[in-house]
Formats: sequence, structure tokens, C-alpha cells
Amino acid sequence: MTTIDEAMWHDDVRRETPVEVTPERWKSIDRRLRILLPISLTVSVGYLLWLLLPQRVGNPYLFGLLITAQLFNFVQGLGFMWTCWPRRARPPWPELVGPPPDVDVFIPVYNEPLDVVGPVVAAAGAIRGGVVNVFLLDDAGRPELADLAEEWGARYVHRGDNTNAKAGNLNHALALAEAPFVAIFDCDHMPDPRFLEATLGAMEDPDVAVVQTPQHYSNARSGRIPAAAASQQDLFFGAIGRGKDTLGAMICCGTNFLVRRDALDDVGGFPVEGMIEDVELSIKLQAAQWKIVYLNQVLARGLGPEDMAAYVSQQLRWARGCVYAIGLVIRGDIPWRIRLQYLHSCLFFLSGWTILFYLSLPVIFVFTGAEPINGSTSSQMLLYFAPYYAISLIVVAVAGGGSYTFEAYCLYIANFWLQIAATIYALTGAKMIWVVTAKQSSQRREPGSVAPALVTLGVLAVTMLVAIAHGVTLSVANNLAFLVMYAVVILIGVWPALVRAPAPTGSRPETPVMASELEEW
Amino acid sequence: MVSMVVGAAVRFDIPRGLWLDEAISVSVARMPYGAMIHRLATADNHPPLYFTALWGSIRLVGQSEVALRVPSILFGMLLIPLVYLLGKEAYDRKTGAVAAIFVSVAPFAVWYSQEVRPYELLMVFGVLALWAQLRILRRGGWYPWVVFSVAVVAMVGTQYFGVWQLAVQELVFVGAIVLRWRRHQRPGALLRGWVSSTVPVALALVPLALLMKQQYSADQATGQAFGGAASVGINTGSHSIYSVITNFGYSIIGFHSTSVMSEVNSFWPLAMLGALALLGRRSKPVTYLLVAMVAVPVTLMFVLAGFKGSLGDVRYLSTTVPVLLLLMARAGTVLATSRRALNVVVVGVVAVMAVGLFDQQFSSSNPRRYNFREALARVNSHARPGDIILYDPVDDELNTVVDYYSPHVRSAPLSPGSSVKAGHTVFVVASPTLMNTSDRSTLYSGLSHLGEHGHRIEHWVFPNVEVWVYR
Repeated sequence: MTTIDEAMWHDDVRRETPVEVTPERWKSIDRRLRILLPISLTVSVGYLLWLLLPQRVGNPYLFGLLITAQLFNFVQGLGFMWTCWPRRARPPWPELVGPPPDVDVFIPVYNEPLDVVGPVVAAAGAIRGGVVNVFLLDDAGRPELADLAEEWGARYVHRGDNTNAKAGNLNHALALAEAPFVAIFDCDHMPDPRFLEATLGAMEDPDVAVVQTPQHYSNARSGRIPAAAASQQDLFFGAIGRGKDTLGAMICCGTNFLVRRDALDDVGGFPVEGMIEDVELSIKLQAAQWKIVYLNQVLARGLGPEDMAAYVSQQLRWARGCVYAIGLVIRGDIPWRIRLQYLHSCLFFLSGWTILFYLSLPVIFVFTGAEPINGSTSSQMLLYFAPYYAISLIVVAVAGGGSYTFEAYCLYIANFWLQIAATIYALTGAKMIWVVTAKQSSQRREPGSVAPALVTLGVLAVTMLVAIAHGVTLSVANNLAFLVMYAVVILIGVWPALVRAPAPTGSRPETPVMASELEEW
Repeated sequence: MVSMVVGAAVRFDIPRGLWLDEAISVSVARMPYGAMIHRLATADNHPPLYFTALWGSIRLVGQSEVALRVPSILFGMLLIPLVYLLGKEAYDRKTGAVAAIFVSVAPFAVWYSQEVRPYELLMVFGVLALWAQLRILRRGGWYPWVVFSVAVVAMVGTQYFGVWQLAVQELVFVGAIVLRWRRHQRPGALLRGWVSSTVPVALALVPLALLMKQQYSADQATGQAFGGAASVGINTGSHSIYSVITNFGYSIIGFHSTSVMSEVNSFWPLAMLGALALLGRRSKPVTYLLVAMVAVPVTLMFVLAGFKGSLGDVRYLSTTVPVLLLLMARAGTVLATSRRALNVVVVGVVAVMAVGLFDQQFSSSNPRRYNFREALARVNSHARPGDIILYDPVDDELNTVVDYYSPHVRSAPLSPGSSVKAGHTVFVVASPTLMNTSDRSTLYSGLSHLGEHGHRIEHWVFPNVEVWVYR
């Protein structure tokens, strides 16, 4: 059994946490962004204008699709720039006045291992700054969890059925809880004792419904998948989270947040209609004119997906939920600024379609000779495309404070098919079973989890061979280079699924290190 | 040490003869020193340092083909340890060593190590100035200031375009002083050193500026326009992004035929992959400095090339090439996560460069290879007393080349009225790739005139050189 000492926070989180950027570093990032973002906007518009000229049209169908994809990417880029544009940070909220309030801490559990849940329950009981009542919400009815709750003085709750999954579990607990504030932690996110001290002050503003804090994966060292997943999270909870906060458009992210009970009651508890209750809750709260604020301070140490199956399951759930939420955002009665921000976030999960299209272009060329851009003008393309591409990468690197890694990018690209599957699920209304993200590595090779990416790799490889067999002209060489680039990116992305996953969290096998520890270039 | 040995071996193996630009250097350096400076001031557009070195070298070691190349070869070999030192100062020993290995076989560095032109010296002084600047910024002290001051004056004294790097370096010093002042880090020593360096550097550059003004006036008077450089085969002077990529290709894999370079250019998407691979790597300030040393001169020359296409040539950006190779070495050392991976990267890059070097040095399709040596050797083997070589272009430079390789055969410029004397052979040696359309039509009318008075009995074709034989 985990001891309280083991469960407690230790001091090296800052070293492990690129997301938690110091104010001085933010200032430095902001200075650079003030220069980079206008350049990026100018260069992006220049490229797009060049592309939109009628003489660029090659194959009209491919050209139409290319324009659609590029416009989608442009709008996404514009949204990113808007989000990250340096603005005056919200002033720190006041100290909490008066006696410490009652706070109910909810830890929903389904089938997670006891040694993952134990430290979280222990840490929840040690949170300072409020009168804490810990609820262990067991949706599987495991007696050992009841023992665990008893051991740490938590209240064990089991509702008898699993209706509406996590949202249903939380709503069931709300009926039993009475405190004016509720803190929610997934059972693999160990709270910091300072969680309430840091967040309760925001509740002095009676309009604040949610104080969201980062999802930090403390197991980022334990394998390539958690390292890459952590890097993806760090970009969201770093530059994007900070930007959304200054725009008043933060999203509740499902764990590591404090919520006002009145606000929850006002919107009827956690939404149960869709796949991701947190985004839907955010929409409802914003519609009811509640505020969601973000504190860019790591106050919980979580476990990211440790193998590919877990990552795929998590991303598919998020993608499906966000695609489903697009309609809710459009229909929601929320201010335009927030609506656009939420749309920007949800639409990101459609970008898999653009990746599929870009991957297809060299394949289509090799087999049919069709190109979206008129060959006679494509020689000028690089003059416009290269600066656009370079400045976009630089903006992501600078805005993210260097937290977004190549491996994270490769993992994202290799799993483009998840977003396509999510869209199909959303359009067809197919029921998707709620699958909790596995908390421990299966330590097996998992080619099945990345089968669509492997098929894509196979298609790319065959196309390369066909291209070489046809004879390498200049156009073929160019498309061959694109094929090689895509293949390398996808191969790096799926690689963790093709090798035996490393030992579970705790040990430090293999190579992965945090972005902040990579050797400086 | 291995890099030095390999570097020396490939630099002393010189498979090509002199071409026209080299002939200019030779004819200038053969003059008495005062006449040479006068000639540079009135009929050239280069500063005098390299020619002074060549002038001394000719008098010390003679005028054989290898002897003429001695200054470039020596500086080419010196570049290898200097790049190591720069890499070590900028990053670490490992990066320095990898960069030195790259430089030892880098086709561009090898090419100009063998050319009787100033570009290898430009690279050496550029690297030295950079090394000194890093040393100053990191450790201070007086002697790096001396090295820096001497190196930058020598750099501009070798090639005026060295001024781009000098400008960037001076801006970096100013920026560093302002930054230290704002951070309350006592910028006094840096400021004093900078002033103590800038004043003598500026004074030393005054005579160069006056010389340049004189050259510019002379060029304007002759209607050449300043910087009238000879075209060198492939038209990199075209003002497009592909000319930048072609020049980038030249600087990494050397000079190759247009078709090879076009194919290499088509693989530009792989550069996207390289850029992606750097995601998540925080850059050191020194990397920004090195990138600026490449990006600023390239951008400025790209703009200038918009006005005068011949300036869009990588040789005028020689200072950027060792820096580029160092940045490549750095990318390799940070991206390779193990020693084995680094070895694979180094071997891979060296293999690519070695293939490039071989093709550059020995392929007849290299557009910068002008094989006057072989052409004139064949002429020599066929020429009898009374025969004559007519050359075109009719410049002094080709005259120098012809005199150098065929000193015992009479020679004269080809003219429209040139004719064939009975019983004698006329060898017309020309390089059509060096000519514009009008010059080419003059050549062909001269040839047809010769054809009217004699019979064309042979036509020999060499890389960028042709010989027509009439009797």
C-alpha cells in the first residue's frame, strides 16, 4: 500500500514541468511573439493570396480540395495567433477572506489499478486551504476501493450502475455532497497540497464558476508515448491555456479543477449527452454567463497514456467529443469571442482530414500524374510556401516555450485517422463505448492500435517504389521527397507501438526526456 | 588530426587547370607590386589582400599550377582547425570535431582551396572573426579583440562582401552592450574593447573604401558597372528562390551540372523534415548569432541580385559556408541521441559530401570546370612552328591562360578578319559558355570567315572549352 509520504508532492515538479513558465520567461516569449505574429500573419496571407490566383489551378478537383485544406489550416493558424497574442495577464486574484470553506473533492474511478488510485486519495486528503471532504466515486463497485477510502478517511460512493459514465458518476455524487465548492481530480492525477490555497482566491469573484489548472503528466519520462503526449498537453496548457484565459475563453478540462457548486446547479450538473462532459459543461457555463479561469500553475501530477492503445483511446474520445461539441458551440448562446475560441479548439479535431489529403497528394500524382497546382507556376510556390512554413514552425516553437517536440508532432500526424474516425462516428451517430484511458503500459507490441497508420505507411512505401520504377523526373523527385518526409514522420509516430513498451511508471527506461531537458540546439 | 590529413590529401589532388578568373589573379600578381595595386585600382573590383599574398607566394614558390594555388591550399587547410575551434567555442568539442570533419571534405571548401582566387581566405578570416567575437562575449580579454580587429579588416581586405559579416558582428556587439547595460551587468569592459577595436578597424577600412571608390569610378567609366563578374556556367544569377536553393546546394554538396542541381533542388521537402526535427529544441543565443551570420548576408545578396543577377553567387557568400557546416554539425550532435547515431549521421553526411566532391572534381558536366589545360595540351601536341592559336573571349585573361599552357605557340585574339595562312594550322580556342549571345555570334562569324579561307579539320570539345582546328 502506498504511504502518505510516497503519495505526497515532491519538489522537483518545476524541473519536470515546461508548462509552468515563469513570468520572466513569458515576458521574453511575448516580446518575440509581438515581432513574430505580425510577420507570420503577413507571410501566411501572402502565401494564401498567391495560391488563390486562378492561374494556379492544376487539376480543378484537387485544387479545390487543396484550397479548402489550406484555408482550414490558415484559419487554425489565425486562431492560434489570436490565442497566443500577448495580452495583459489577468491580475492575481485576492487572498481568500474568512474561514476556510468546505470543499468536496471528487475522485471518479472506474477500473483503474489500486496503486494508481491510492496515492491520489491520500494526496486529496492532505490538501490544505479548505475543509476537505474526499469522495471516492467507484463505478465498478470494488470492495478494495472501499477499504482504501476508509484507510484515508474518504467517503466511498458506489451508485450501482454506470449510466452516463463519468458525468453520471459525478452527478450522482453531487446529490450526496453539500460543500459550496467541488474539486475534481481524475484518479490518476495526484493533487498538490496547495491546490485550494492557489485556486480558492478566484472564487472571491462570484461570477467565477471554474478554476482550471494544468494537466501535467508526471510519467513523461517513462516512455515515448507519455513523453510525446505530455509535450502535446504542455502546448495546450501553456501558451493556449494562458491565451484562452486572457480572452475569458478557457475550457474546463475534466480534471484538476475547482468548480462552484452554485454554478453546477445552475446548469443542471455535468452534461451527460455527449462524450466529453467537460467541454459541454464549459459551453453551458459560458452560456449562463459564468466565468472559467485558468491558473497556469501545476497543482496536480497526472499519468499520461503509457502505451499506444491508451493514447489512441484517449485521443479518439477527445476527438469524438470535440467534433460532437462543434454543433453545441455553434448553437450555444455564448458571446462571439468565446464561441470562436471554442470553435477553434473543437475544429482542430477535424485537421486529420487535411493530413489525409496532404498524404494523398503525392500518391495521386505518382499514380495519375494529377497535381493540384498548375505545373508552370508551381516553381514559384516555394518562394511563398517556405517562409510561411518556416515562420509557422517558429511561432509554434516560440509560443510553446520549446515544449512542443518533434516526437509529439509525429505522434499527432501518425494518428490523423483518429480524427477521421471521430468525424465519422459523430456524423453517423454511432454509439461509442466509454473507454477509460489505461494507466499502465501493456508492455506489449501494439501494431493493432496503429493499423490505419501502418496501412498508410504501406501505401506510401508502395508509391515510392512505383515512383522510382517509373523513373525519377523532377516532379517525381519532388513528390518522392514528400513521400519520404511523410513516411519518416509517420514511422516515428507509430514506432512506440512497434516495439515493446517500457516498464510501468516508476522505472526510468530507455531514452525519453522532457522537452526542457533536450540538449539545446 | 585525421580531418587535417584527409583535408590536405583532397586539397592537393587538383584535377583542373586554370580558368579565366584565376588567370586574372595570375596576370595581376605577376606584375611589380606598385603596378599590381594600380591595376587593381583601375581595372579590377577586388581589394588587395589576396593578391598581395599571391604576389608574395609567386615570388617565393614560383608559378607552377600547384605553386599558384599555395595560398588557397594553405588557408584551406587552416580552415579545418579554425572551424574546430569555432565549434568548440560556440558549443563543445564534439560539435567542433564534427564540423571540422565536414569542412575537410566539403566540396565547396575544397574547390576554393584549389582556386587562385580570394574566397578561401575570406572563409578563414570570417571564421576567425566569429571565433574571436564569441571569445570576447564569453570570456573577455584583450587578445581576442586584437584577433577580431585584424580578422575583420583582413576579411574585408580580401573581399568587399565580407562587410556583411562585419556589419552583423558589429550589431551583435552593440546589442550585447545594450543588453548588459539593461541587465546591470557592467558593460564597461565590453564597451571599451568595442571602441578600442572599432576605431582602428574603421581607420583601416578607410583606404579600402577609397580604393573601392576608385574602382567603382573606373568601372563606371568603362561601362562595366561595378562588380562585373564573369558568368560561371549555371545561371545561379537568376533571381528566384531556386537560385538560393541552388547556391545552398553548392555550399553543401559542391558544384554539379544543372540537371543534377535541379534534381537535388526537387528534394526540398526533406528540408521541411529537418526543420520539424528541431521542434522542441531550445536555441542557444550562439545559434541565433550563427544563423544571423548566414541569413543576413544571404538575404542582402538576394536583394542585390535582384538588381545585378551575377551577384547571386555563393562564392560572394563564402563566409556563410563554414558557418552553415557548423550549424549542420550542431544539428547532428543534438539530434543524434547516442554515439552510434552520431557516427551514422557523420558517416552519412561525409559520404554524401564525398560523392559530391568526386563528381565536382572529376565530372565534365561541372559548369565551373573550364578545361583549358587539356584543350591546350592537345593543341600543343598538334601544333607545329608557324601555327597559331586564336582565342575567344578576346580578354587578357584568356590570353594569360593560353600563354600559361601554350607558351611556345603563337597566339592572338580571334577577330572577324582572322584567316588561315597556307600550310599552317589555326587553333581557335573558345569558351562559348562564357559569352553572351552577341559575343557568341561574333565567334561564329569569325569561325565561318576562317572556314571560307581554309578547311575545318577538327572540332574538339572539352568541359566548357571548344577547339576548332583549321588548315
